[in-house]
Amino acid sequence: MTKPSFESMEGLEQIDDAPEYSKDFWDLVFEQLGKRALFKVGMVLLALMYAVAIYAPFLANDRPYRFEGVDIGGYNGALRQLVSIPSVMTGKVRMSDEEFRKELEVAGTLGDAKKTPQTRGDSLAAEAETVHDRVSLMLGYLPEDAVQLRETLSALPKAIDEAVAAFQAGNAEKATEILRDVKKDARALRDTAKPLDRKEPGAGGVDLVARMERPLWDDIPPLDVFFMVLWLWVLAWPIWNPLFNRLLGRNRERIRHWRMRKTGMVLGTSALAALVWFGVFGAGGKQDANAPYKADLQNGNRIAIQAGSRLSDTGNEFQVTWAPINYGVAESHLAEQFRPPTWLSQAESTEGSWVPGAADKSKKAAEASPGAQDAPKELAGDKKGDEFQATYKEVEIRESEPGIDDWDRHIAGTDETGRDFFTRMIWGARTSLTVGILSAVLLTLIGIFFGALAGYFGGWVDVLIMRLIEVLQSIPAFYLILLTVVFIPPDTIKPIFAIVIVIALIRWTGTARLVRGEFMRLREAEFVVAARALGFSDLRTMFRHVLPNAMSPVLVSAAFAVAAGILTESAISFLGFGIRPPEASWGSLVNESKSPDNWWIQVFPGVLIFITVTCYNLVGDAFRDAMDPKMKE
Amino acid sequence: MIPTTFGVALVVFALFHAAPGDPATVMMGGGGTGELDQGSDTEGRVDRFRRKHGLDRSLVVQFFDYMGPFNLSRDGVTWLSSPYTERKVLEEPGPDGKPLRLGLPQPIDYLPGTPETLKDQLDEARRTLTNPERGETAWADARRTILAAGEQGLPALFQSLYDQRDRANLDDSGVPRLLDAVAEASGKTWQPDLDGPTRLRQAFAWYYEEGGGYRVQNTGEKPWGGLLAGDLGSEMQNDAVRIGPELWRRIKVSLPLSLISVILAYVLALPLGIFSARNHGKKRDGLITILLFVLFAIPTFWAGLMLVQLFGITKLDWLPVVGLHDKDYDTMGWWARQWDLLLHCILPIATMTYGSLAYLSRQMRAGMMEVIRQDYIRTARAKGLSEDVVIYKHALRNSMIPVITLLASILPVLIGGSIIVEKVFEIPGMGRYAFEGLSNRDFNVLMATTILVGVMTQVGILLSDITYTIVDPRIRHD
Repeated sequence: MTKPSFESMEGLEQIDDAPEYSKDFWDLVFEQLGKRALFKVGMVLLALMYAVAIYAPFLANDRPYRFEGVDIGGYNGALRQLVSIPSVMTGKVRMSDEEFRKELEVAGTLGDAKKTPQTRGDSLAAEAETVHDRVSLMLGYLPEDAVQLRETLSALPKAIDEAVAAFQAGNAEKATEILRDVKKDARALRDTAKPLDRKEPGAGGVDLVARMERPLWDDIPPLDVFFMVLWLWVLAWPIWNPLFNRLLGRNRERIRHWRMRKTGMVLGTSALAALVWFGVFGAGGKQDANAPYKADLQNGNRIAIQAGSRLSDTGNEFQVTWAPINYGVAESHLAEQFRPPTWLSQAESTEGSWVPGAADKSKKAAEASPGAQDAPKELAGDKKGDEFQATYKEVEIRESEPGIDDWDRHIAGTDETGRDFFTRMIWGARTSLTVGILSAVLLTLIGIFFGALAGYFGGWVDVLIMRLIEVLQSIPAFYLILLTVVFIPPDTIKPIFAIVIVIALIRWTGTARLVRGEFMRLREAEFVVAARALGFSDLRTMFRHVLPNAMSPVLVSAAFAVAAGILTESAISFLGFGIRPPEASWGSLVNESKSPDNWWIQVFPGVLIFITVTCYNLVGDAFRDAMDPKMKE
Repeated sequence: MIPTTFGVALVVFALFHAAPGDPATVMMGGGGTGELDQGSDTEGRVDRFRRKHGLDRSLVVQFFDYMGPFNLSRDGVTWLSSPYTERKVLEEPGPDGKPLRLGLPQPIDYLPGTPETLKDQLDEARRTLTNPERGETAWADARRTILAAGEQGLPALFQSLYDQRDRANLDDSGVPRLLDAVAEASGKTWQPDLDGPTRLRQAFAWYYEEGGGYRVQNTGEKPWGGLLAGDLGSEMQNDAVRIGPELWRRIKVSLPLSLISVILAYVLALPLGIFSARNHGKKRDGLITILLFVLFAIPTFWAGLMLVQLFGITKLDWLPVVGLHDKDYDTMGWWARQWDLLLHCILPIATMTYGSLAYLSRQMRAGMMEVIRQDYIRTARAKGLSEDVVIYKHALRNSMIPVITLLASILPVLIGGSIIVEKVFEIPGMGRYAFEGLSNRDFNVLMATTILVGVMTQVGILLSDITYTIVDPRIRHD
């Protein structure tokens, strides 16, 4: 599996008139791969699978892409807090340090500096920060022409800052005084700054101005952006790569030269996009937390009207743009516990409620008495039926959700707390696929390191490493991984990373053996001897000269390692020791119901695991065959 | 084999203790199931648990204590004597009829020849000393009684200290009073600034070494226990259950299943692989290859669940899916029992087998194809031998070598996989035991199952080495 020696002098001379002589090892490999339909199918499926995982926030989310309107609930809440925060602050100014510490102790947050400030000064500063936040939220909705109101409001945070400064200067008296004034002003604001009620415009109140928000975009962290841009490049590769190669004049030598630059370009633009994103939108929010938009719109805490228009205007409703699957990953519908996929008759509702098994029963009743078409009605109406139904709540259809019996309400059913299972599978893909890739990368790195050491140096280093490998291999890897993951408490390291690290620390042995074999074979090869004769350091010889020639079996085993990683993670999570709800991975999703009645919970995630693993096996197989010199006959 | 087993024990031990988080908390907490939050005195309970299982000692000491027939002391005392108790060697009949030797901690007895009436008095006195409500005068009287008994009174004091040694707070319940009495009796003074546990240990050290070694009814034998002596200890949360016999009970369930599965996999995979290789390039081969490829990618737990779905009560209702026996197993006749067992075994064995079957036949096919291309096969064909003779007499043995190598790796995979299979089908076997150990974070159970699995892997390697020599006489293991 060495490179064909294209760098020999004859080869170089013939480049211009006979380009086929300049095919290098990777050209040959890609040529072989291109001939395999199954490889292509596998790659396309994987690319799509990763696309779904990477773009999950756009596909399934309870945040709208774009929202224009007024957050009445938030505004009123801020108004209330402007009164309550100064009171709290006054309390803290008056209290002694002892009392403050005692209070923390009661709350159980003493010593937990990340969650709660540990000194009175810090605590006051944090409160002041909140006031700034609330005031800026209110100012965003206040119309420009309410000059008086805006001035009063803007003065509050400044006064609070003065109070904090006074406290820190040791003047508690003055701080208390300022806070008292602030409280008085804020109380007055509760009447003057009250928002207008749309239903009773005559009753008075401030005529607020609607604003535009992008809740979904705001919560996306830069790392996600990096992968999103990267994946755009990858998905569009079949389009831009041939064009690019044509630009290079289809000259293999130049194309080869540009390989690294292309990779750099793709990674560079993705990183740049992430950086810019960080500058503009910040670090992003907690994406898997519930967003308030659906509930708020339902109960009138938020009003959707076009940006720039006022509460009192009419005929300016705004159509909210939602994600295609309008459920949050942790959004529950308690009334729809374990509801089967809604395109099945099994999942039909009974008078606005989801009653497990009711659809089957009524069907059976209808079959039992043919001709009596009103049988289901009777069943629902009799006394027993009423009692039965009394325990089931009516399903709440939130803003913009499909109707209760629409086929697309929950296309993969729901789980124990009525979370949409399809959404959870989409988000679960992120965990499962991440574990696969990360663990494979990490274990390959570890394996290369130890294998290279053992193979290149030989002697006692080799003996030592091989003994370690033997001991590790004499315990079944899955068993050992399970054992170790169990003993890592989830609050020390997130389970997903614990699994990745443990898999890598235990599974590196196979790769190490491969690399060791290759290194032993190549150690005495002429080009390595030459490199040493040139006085290159051991490290440089190992990783710049030997390693590139030893990479092909490593790549193959890495492809299989990804599949094994996904399988391992799913098995651990299935046993209940890995990813725990509300986070999701395909394995933990299967674990959400043991009952064979809830078949959708067991079937769908398994199919996804199966498809992914098959694709990786296909790709790995294709790689192995393409790199095997014997197959090129 | 033994050094590797030792290495396995070391690795697992190191893994448990290198994992972040306090082992005692993890083991007691059962993995954050909220057990710790119940009741008060959480810290005290964790502390007691930690000391009971010696988790507060240095890792080296813990490891040797687990491994060998050493009876390592706590810090500050000698290595081969225990500061708290002597270990008494008990002989118990084991499950196989042979006597088991167990080294158990033993409470401190009164010296031989102590009159019964005196024993009662001393017991009463030590109870008084440990009762915080009795008051100064009662305590002083009790102390006088014990000291008056001289040598014969010391066991009373030490029995009380022995009872109290697991308490989290050694400063209540009369421990200082007991220690004062010991100090008075021994004429030794201990530095007052030492903490409770250290003073306790020093008192015991004095009792066993300087003052009391001969006073104890010791069996005179060396302390006994540890892995090397075949003692796997007890379950951590339930001392009454000895792991050795329990594990043996579970193996009797699991091992037949695993063995049948291995044999079945080989019996099916070899012909399948050969058939595939012989029909290389034809449609049949393609079909089989794709089928095996698909089988290989199915997660074990999912395959089990799907079989339960399909054959269980929800769909076809053909086969039982839970456990190994029906409820009325005890009332059945012999044949009915075997039939019942067979029905219960079908799905678990199928789940265990399909993966290795797919893998093995792929390897068998590859091996066969490799061999068929060789010159000597061409020669055999040229001689005019029938295809069957060529395949089964000339090619088969050589093509089996890679498949036999896999025996070493398939055995452990089956055992590892049995955790999942036994979970899905609720079979009370070894995998299930390991799962219970995992759920309870029971270090002793996990250590025992892991070592067993490690040993079985070694056996697998040994078996494959032996089979090598049978298949290919050129290979020798000197």
